[in-house]
Amino acid sequence: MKKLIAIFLMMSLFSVSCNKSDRGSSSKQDAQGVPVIGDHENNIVPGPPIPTPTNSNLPALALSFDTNITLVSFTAAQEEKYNKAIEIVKLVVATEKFKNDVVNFTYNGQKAFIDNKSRTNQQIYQTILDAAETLKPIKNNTMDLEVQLYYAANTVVGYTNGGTRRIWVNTKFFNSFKENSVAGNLFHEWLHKLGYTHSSSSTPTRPYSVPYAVGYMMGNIGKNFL
Amino acid sequence: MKKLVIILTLLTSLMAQASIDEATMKSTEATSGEIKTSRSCFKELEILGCRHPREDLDQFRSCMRNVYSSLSPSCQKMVTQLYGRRN
Repeated sequence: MKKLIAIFLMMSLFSVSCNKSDRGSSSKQDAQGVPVIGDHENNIVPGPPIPTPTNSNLPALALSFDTNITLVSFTAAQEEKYNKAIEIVKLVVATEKFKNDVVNFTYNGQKAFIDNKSRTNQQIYQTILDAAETLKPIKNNTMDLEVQLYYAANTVVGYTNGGTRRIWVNTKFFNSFKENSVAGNLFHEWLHKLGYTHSSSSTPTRPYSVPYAVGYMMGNIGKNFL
Repeated sequence: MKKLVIILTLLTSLMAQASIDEATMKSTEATSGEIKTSRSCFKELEILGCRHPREDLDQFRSCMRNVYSSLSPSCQKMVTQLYGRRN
């Protein structure tokens, strides 16, 4: 009995292996120096140096940020829409505005997010570029996710939980959202995969948490790429 | 036993939800004016020989900086905001 409970607890905390659909969307850059391989100690194995554009304050990882996203049970039209949102994510991460907005984020007179895991804004920005999800703690500069659509007649745009690489997106909102808003929600949920949290209830400070604040940044900057 | 397992599952499964905040989502949704402005700016850049960042981000960035002075004021403002000041 005790063993069963212990096993069950362990299983629910770790990732759930799900059958992947026949539809998938992934984009992986060929190396022009993308450090995508992690060794057994989860360190970045450096590849060839990534050229940094001149006259830029952006780190190279912002330009090489990539995605590895599997879409589960999407129609062709839904997949096309979601892929556009994924492209927007990459474009936004590659802007100086995104970097500046994250690094200079201010709440209550201080440059800090709510529920920031004791990290500075610069450190939070770096974790975004490193893209080491909790369930796949390799700094591969790549957003690794599974996405599945569902419908619920409530106010939840999407959700995830700590034991899976999957996020769920509510078609009640997905169907009417423009791609920049889809990108914002995608980034919000992905930031949970990086370990950032927020209050479950709508408190006055929740919008200043990392998932909410940076998700909104993604949506706002993403407007420029529609 | 079954009830205990169900309760344990609920307790250990931490759900992180993104709920809609109507006012904020409205501000995030792009207006037709914003879309028109950005698309006209990228059109300007395309005419000047810059590929869209979706096609080739590196080429776009270096090209954009080269043609910056030829852009309309609104387009200059947009690319400066997105990609920083042209040195």
